[in-house]
Amino acid sequence: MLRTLFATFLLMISAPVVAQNLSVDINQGVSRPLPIAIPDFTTRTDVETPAGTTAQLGVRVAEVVTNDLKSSGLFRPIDKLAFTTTVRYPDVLSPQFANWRTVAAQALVTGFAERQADGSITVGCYLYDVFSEEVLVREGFNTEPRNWRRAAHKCADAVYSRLTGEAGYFDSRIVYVSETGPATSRIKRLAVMDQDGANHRFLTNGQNLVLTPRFSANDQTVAYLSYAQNRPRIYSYDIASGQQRLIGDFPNMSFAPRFSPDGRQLAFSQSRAGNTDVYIMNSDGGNVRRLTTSPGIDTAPSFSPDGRRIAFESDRGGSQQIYTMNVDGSNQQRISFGDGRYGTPVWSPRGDLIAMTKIGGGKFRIGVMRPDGSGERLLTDSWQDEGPTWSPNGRVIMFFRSRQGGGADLHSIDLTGINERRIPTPLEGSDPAWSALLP
Amino acid sequence: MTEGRALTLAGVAHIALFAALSLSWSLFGDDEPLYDEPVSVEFVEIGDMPTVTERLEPTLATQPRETVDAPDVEPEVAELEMEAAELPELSTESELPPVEKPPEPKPEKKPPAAKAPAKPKPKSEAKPAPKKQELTEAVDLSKKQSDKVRTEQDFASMITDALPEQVALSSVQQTTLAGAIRDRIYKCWDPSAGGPDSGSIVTTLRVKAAKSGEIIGRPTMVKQTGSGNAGYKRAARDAAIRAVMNPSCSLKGLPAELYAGGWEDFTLNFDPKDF
Repeated sequence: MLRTLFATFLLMISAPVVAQNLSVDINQGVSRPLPIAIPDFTTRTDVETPAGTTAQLGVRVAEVVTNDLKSSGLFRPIDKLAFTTTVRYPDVLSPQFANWRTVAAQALVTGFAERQADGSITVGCYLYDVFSEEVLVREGFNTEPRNWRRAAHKCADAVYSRLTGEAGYFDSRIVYVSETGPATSRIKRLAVMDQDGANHRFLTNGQNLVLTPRFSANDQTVAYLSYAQNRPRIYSYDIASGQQRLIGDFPNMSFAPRFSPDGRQLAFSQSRAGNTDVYIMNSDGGNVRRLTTSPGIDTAPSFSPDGRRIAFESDRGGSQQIYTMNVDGSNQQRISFGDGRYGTPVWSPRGDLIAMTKIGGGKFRIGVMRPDGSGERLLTDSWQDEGPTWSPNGRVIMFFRSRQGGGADLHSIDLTGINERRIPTPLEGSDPAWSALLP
Repeated sequence: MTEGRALTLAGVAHIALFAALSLSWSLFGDDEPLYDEPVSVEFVEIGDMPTVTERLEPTLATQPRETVDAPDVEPEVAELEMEAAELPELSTESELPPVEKPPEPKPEKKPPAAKAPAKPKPKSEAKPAPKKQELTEAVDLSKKQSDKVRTEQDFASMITDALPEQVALSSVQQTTLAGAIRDRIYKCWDPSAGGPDSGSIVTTLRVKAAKSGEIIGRPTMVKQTGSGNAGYKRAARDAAIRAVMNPSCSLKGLPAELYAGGWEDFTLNFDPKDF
């Protein structure tokens, strides 16, 4: 009897040991671009379209997707020369994963271009996890052949979004000031282009000086400053229709317009009797209200994404610093306290950061800080970087860099401060403004 | 109480304990929806841009990947319509800044929407169902076995056989093995994707490995905590699974003597807090 009970006891105490799994904590990792294979998109039947044959479109679409993903700094597209297989039409849905593992791809993008009976094209876009052989994205777009680049950007956005968890930003536009000519007679024109520099076109002819274009968050309207008739005033330009109009015909100089997140209001600055303050008005120019009253220069207002707060710069304390306030002008407080001066605050679309220009040590640098002023971090280190604008997903900042010998061009940098890129423009460029993701 | 009854009691206790411990994963797991909110890409009408009239929701693969018939392969496609561009009208107000002539407008013709191609129809190559005769035989065999009158000794040995053949690792062995696994996996883990609060996402995977070091099947996520953003959590899960399944970071060469009860079946907690 005793022997039996003892045996039972021994069996019972042995059980928990058997059921216990080994648990391993992984607290370290590495940060490196994800190797991704993007073979040419294929076509079932190669036919002509106004933008080239469908086979040619497939190659171009893959190039755009490749460039988009590479420019993010988060992906490393694998050189096509390394590919050990050619993707044909059936392979789009049935990749030979072993071939992609041999080139160390972790993700695979395949797709096709086809012409439809009505003349439109269909771009199919697929993303696979090469290790698990799981399809992660399966989308397609019909559009007119001339808009094939947008379909490619949409594909890249879908891939980016699925693999990072964030919204994409490739299907978006940049409006900026294109510059040319000597400093004494500089010609400045409004220009718009895709975020990768494609589809560039000028909006104004350069007869009048233009400055600080800003996109509305919910349509393709741009507010900007023009010196038409030598009076600096705020205009809006509807890119879709080409129509423009004067907003608020004020007797005084008005500048630095910025749309509210819902597009219904504009914050801006106005100089009256030597004092510059921040104002707000409806986007049609009505219901003008003054938000700041302090002596000195209050300017460069920028809304928080919830529309409740405004960041701006002010020299009311003796030097140029960043302040925030409620949208009715109450609760004004300084948030920048580091060495040097701070200007051009721009609230991130995610709301977690404010981009700014830090001035000090003979340099203008682009940096970010939290809305309470903490966590200041400089991202660039050049002679004169200024005018930050956020990508729609709040992960990349575009700005313009002036050269000491004269001239300026556009650059972008992501929040890591590592992936800096120059944005190609036909002429020199300044004052970029990034649109929201195109609808 | 006879010795036989004591063994029977012990056996029942073991089964109960084993079942409770096995179920603990599901009981303590995070019951939040873990993934697969569709990533949306949609168009709306803007000037001379394409317009999506139907939102396409990406779906996970349902078709077998090695049995696609080319002529039937069609993706799910969002239908877009081209809106003809409005003829830009420049204001004639003399105050307005001169404007570049907008691009040549297209005739205001709305082409018919393209029909979305049919969804891919994978060729089914399911394995044939077992013949009825075979199934019947299997049931009969099972019944015969369950009806067999076992001796108490048989019952005790059956319990022992049902338990995985594992060894209990000492704490030193566990620490050593955990370090060895960590050294393999972290080199393939990139937790940098995601957004502001992605650093709070802890992903726990259950991994089963063969003695050769190959991962058996696909690691399963047993728990995920932190962040309310489904996209960030899905990206964190995928990054963790990629790290485990990356051949560059395989478990090949781990101590064979620590396989049973060690790295044959273990969990990995991916915590980017300090990354």
